[in-house]
Amino acid sequence: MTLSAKDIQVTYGRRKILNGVNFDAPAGTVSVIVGPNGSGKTTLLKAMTGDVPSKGTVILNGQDTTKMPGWQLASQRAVLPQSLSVAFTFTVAEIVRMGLLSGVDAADSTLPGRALDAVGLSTYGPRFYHELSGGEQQRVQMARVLTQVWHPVQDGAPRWLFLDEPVSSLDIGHQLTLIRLMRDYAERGGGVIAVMHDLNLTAMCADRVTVMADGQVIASGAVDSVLTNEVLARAYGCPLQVNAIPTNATHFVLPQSAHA
Amino acid sequence: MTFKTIVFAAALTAVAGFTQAGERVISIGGAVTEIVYALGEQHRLVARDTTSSFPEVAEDLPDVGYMRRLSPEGVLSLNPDLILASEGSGPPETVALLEAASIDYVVIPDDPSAEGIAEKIRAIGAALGVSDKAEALATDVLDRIAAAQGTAGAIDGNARVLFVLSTQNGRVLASGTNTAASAVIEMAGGTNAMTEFEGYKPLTDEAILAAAPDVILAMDRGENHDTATESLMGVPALAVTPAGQNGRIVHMDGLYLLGFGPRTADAVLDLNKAIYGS
Amino acid sequence: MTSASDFNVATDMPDRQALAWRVHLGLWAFLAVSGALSLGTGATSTSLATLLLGITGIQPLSMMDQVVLFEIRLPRLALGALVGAALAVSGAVMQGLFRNPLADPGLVGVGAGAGLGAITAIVLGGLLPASLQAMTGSYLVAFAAFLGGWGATIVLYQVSTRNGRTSVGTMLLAGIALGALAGAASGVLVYIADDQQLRDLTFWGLGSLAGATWTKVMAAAPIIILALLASPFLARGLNGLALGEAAAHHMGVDVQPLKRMAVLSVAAATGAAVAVAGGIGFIGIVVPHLLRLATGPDHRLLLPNAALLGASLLILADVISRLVIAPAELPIGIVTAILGAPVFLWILLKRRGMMDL
Repeated sequence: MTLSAKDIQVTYGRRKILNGVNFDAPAGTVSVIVGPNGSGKTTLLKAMTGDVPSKGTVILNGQDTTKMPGWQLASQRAVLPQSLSVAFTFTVAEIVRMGLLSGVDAADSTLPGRALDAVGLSTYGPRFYHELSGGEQQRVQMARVLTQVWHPVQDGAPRWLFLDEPVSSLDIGHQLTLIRLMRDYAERGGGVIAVMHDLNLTAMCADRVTVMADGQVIASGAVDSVLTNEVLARAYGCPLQVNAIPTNATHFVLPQSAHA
Repeated sequence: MTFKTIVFAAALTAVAGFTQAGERVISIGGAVTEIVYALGEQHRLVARDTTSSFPEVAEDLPDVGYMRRLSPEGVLSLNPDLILASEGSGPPETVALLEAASIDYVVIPDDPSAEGIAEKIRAIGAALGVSDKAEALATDVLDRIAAAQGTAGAIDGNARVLFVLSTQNGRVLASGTNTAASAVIEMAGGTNAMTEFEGYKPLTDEAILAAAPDVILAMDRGENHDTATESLMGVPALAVTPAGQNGRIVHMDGLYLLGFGPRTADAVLDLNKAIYGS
Repeated sequence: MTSASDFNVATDMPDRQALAWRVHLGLWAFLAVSGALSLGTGATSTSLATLLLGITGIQPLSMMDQVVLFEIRLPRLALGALVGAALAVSGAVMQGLFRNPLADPGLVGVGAGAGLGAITAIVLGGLLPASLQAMTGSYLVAFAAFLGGWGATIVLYQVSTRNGRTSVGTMLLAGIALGALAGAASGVLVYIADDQQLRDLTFWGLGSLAGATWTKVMAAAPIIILALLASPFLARGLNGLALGEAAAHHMGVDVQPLKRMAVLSVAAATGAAVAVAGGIGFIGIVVPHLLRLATGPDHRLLLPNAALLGASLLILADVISRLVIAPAELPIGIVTAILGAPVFLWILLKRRGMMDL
């Protein structure tokens, strides 16, 4: 079971943002899309979730997503946007409980509490969402998304998390918490597709990396085959040095100093 | 009308039968109330509407609200057996309910003319069972109006009179033809300065200038006349008319001037004097 | 690595739902009390005691009491309840749809359209053939207001919906344009109105339940009750919509059908309410706002609670309107404005600086 996007094209007016992009992600892995600002990585994610109009096909678990009814999509995938504005003064518990709207797991009212626990906000239920910090709000939204597709595999089919910059406004401790959640979800059979900014965090959590630049995929595959000096220099247009932490072979990327 | 209502109505008729009809009267409309008093039948009144402000003692009666916005329960609470309502009283829902409750609801015609007043008086007299007194009053009123119009007509001059209903936000709402104001101006020997339209309409500044009124006539709202004059003169277009230049602003009580009741002959004479200053 | 499924502690989340339920029960009681007050007070001496003695057979009702109770006060009570519930629920649904607590059916041109319909009927009704006039009678104004509300909604929808997607921003702007257009058209009609019609327009604009009849109740009830019954089906979707259309869609909310249904039910309820009672302001904004303050924005209980509180408040406002200057009465729109406008200003004051209005 995979997610497979074929020949995705997105145009804003006359400008082509994505020019025939292909993207595949197998279930049971964390697939991360990276690239410089304006490379089209968020646009690709939004095209795959239907948030921007696009040409091409997106096949999720063998079905064309444009032909799936909303409730069915919602039962198989959850989407965490980069940011969203919440109207009215909802509490954290009320927001997270909205993850049950799709109805698939609606019977299990323990899920919102467990999801809040998972993002380290177990005591935040009664607090007002709009009074939280940006990072806390992001974790609440992650809890809501987790609630929606809590079990990584449902009726033999994998479920999917589409995450747009899930760790961007978090401190380092909570970044690691969220990365562990992503890895755990994938290891238990679910699919995780994330757009990320930080190459080191990407190296820590990804099974597969797709590097984008100028609306095109310039490299895609396993971490060590993609996170190379050459590929990154091409994508970001600056010298970068990729090394591996000796103890566990996790890659890390060092920007090369401007001082000669 | 529901079936229930009809049953109630029938029953109420039986209840009403104990008292003599026309002993508890509500009068709706300023002129109607004036006529009831002029006929000397005021002891039969139990209530009046908001527009009934003359004679002053009438204001001691309970007020059932504005004539076009009568509350059914408010009217019923006074237990009337006869309602004398000027043409156009309402709303229709209330009228339907009152009629269903078997209360005599008599519509009094309201035509702004001398003969119209006589008709009003006769209709009220008939409803109150005092047709003889009414005929005498009607004749008297007609005579006095004829005399007043004779006096008014004797004065040479065709002063152009503009009736201004209001000047809200600097917009002048004035009377065209086919209004009570227009009728009383003509009776008093004046000429309505605004004949391009019917009813009351807001005027443009240029229309005011083109009308060139010699006299501006406005309703007395109980405020200081100087203040009222000032607010009229606050409209530049009115200030530069002949009337504005010569300070010919006339204020008269609205019901007295426009009510077309027993006092209309006096109103005609007063207005004539005000216009021609004799 | 810690497995997420290890977090199996079902955190007890204290929330406002339990409170909302208690408020719900309290509001039923409030409605009952308001209803009893409305049946028991008025210009005549007929009281609740009269009614109770009559019903229990201890002292039969006089014919007068029967007329007052069953032909005047009961239809007024019913109409007040229907109109109050319709206005409050329409307001709450509209605010959920626009994700803005200040949105109101008046805002999207529904009220303006209904108003234009009513004014057209008042001014031009006399031009209809006599046979048609006789047929429609005094319900012409009501019917025209209803048509106007629907017409405005249809135009609004045509303008703001493209390829099956409604842009809320376009819709708000279109609503403003429609309101201006209806206002201008009303202005033209006012210009050609005669003196008596002008006075009718003033009083119609203020709204009143004084003309309540069973015919009006029967005309408005099916439409309003249908819209009220539809609202529970909107509640979950409106909750999702609070996070935005995209997020709602990803949570499994059928956004386009939801918006269509919300707009139609608001148009129907507002049109019917305006048609039978004229322009009654502030219920649609104040009631949902007070309830959100007390029990939170969850629409599943907000909508039914708004119906109950809206109905109760309008019934009470009507009691005030008929007692203050009895035997005459104040238009109820004046009462709701006097009570509601300060609350509205207070909302504005509190929200000032908190968000873009």
